Amino acid sequence: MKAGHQVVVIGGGIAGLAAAYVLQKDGFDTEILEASHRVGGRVLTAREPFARGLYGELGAMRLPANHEIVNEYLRELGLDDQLEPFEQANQLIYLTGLKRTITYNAFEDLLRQKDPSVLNLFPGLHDHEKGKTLDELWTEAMAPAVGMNATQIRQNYDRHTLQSYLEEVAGWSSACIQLYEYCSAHVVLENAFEESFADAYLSSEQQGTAARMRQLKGGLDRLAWAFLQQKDVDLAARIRFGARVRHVVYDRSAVETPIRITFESVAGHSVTKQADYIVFTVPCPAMTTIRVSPPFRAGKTSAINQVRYVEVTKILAQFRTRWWEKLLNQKYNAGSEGGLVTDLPIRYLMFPHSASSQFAPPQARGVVMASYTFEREAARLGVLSEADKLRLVRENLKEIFEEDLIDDTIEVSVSHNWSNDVYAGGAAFAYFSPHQHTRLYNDLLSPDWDGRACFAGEHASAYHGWIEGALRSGLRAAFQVSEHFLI
Amino acid sequence: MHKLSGRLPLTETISAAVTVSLDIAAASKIDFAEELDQEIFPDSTSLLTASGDVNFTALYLAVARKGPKEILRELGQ
Repeated sequence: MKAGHQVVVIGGGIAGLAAAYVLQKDGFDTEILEASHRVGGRVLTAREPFARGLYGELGAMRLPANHEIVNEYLRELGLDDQLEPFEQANQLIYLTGLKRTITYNAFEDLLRQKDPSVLNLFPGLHDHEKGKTLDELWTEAMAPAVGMNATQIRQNYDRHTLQSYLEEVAGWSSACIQLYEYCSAHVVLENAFEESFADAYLSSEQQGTAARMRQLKGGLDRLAWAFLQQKDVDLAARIRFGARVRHVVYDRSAVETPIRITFESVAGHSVTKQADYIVFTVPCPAMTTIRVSPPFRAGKTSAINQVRYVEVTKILAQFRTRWWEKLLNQKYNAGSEGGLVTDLPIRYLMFPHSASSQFAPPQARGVVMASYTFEREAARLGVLSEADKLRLVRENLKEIFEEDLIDDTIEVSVSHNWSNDVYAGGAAFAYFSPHQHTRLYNDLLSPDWDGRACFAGEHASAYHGWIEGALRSGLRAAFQVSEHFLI
Repeated sequence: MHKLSGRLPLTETISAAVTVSLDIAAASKIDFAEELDQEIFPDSTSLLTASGDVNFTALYLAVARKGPKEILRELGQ
């Protein structure tokens, strides 16, 4: 090994773990500095305050079957036999104007039949928008883009938000957009319709309904911890928790270890380390809290400052019994699991697969993702106290199901508003605004400081918001470090 | 879009799951920004797509399995 092989990775999320893992295996001397007390970053499995054995996901939760790099690391880390189905089919819908809960199939029948009980809730629908399900409307709207490759999508539509595309290209009425906003549960596509159409479309195409969704038994954070448990790499000995990086200096004139990193420990003392390379893997807003000297090039700095992130709030609630399994089956003939979409503040709810390892038999308790919200709706819920969130869940569920069993079974909740997550810098996941594909992407990916500083994280990938993107970006950054090292 | 022309014959089977065939220009520097411009569903069995672009899925799999230094050596960089 020639000199110049010490690498410091900022952040112990999936991107940082992947970068450190592959670099350490490749002979580099690697250290991870993680500001929090855990690995995983925006993979956040909650086991507290739930009864023993129960858990839920407050961050990333789904692993599409067509994500090849995720599959690779599941095999590498011995977790590929630990997958189970992630139930996401929409089963029920409740609209306040409709005043009743119906199955999603029944709702689609009402749309097909142009039933006034639904259509009157969305005055202003064009005639050609009536008589169609949301999927049919969406398929028609996407027709101009279907068949284009990613380059053509960007060239033709990167100037559009999802909303402006639907209005100007697909010709949707405002009422049709409202219908879609309140009645669909395409969680990747409903970020207030302000995201880049290109990002929404490409994400949907790559990770949409065709991708079989799985989850990891025992919680998705097992994936992150598994990186630390590989004895031959021993990342467990190469990570510092509670290490908050404050200042990074690059000395161009230094012959060896030109990077100087200063971090604060939770105990309050300041530590300085030298390295040959640094890999920044934290979300862009968190990166702005680290002082860098000299500043990164203007394009890099601008990209870090501008990249758009989505606001997300999730609420998990524990119930004394899994009442929904019987209710969905007997009252709605809708199986025993799946999603519910509503225009009430909780917006989206997911009853887990009945065979999920999230349950801990023989106890009858279960944890439900009781609310999943984005953007303004996430901000509104995010400011509520935990008690007020639980109260909101209880009141919304009582309105939806008209059942006393909600009061009788609801116990505790835990929530996460990613806008308030200091370690993530308030970021849930990146979703470009119009033109950001064109203007920022290359600057997000490319190294700086003469190749000594590399950058990773889902924002710096073609898979925003997915673990696949975090892994790819970590491998890409490791490749860039090696590329510079071998020159 | 960046195209690769000359090819380095380094075909091998890395695992039963995905066969990665390394055939890439020796002197070409990989531009990772091009991943965004790829076909929506790239063929993951070759390091080059049918249109001659880098197949990043295959590249990342190769980096994960063999390490970046080995891949860079095989690419002649």
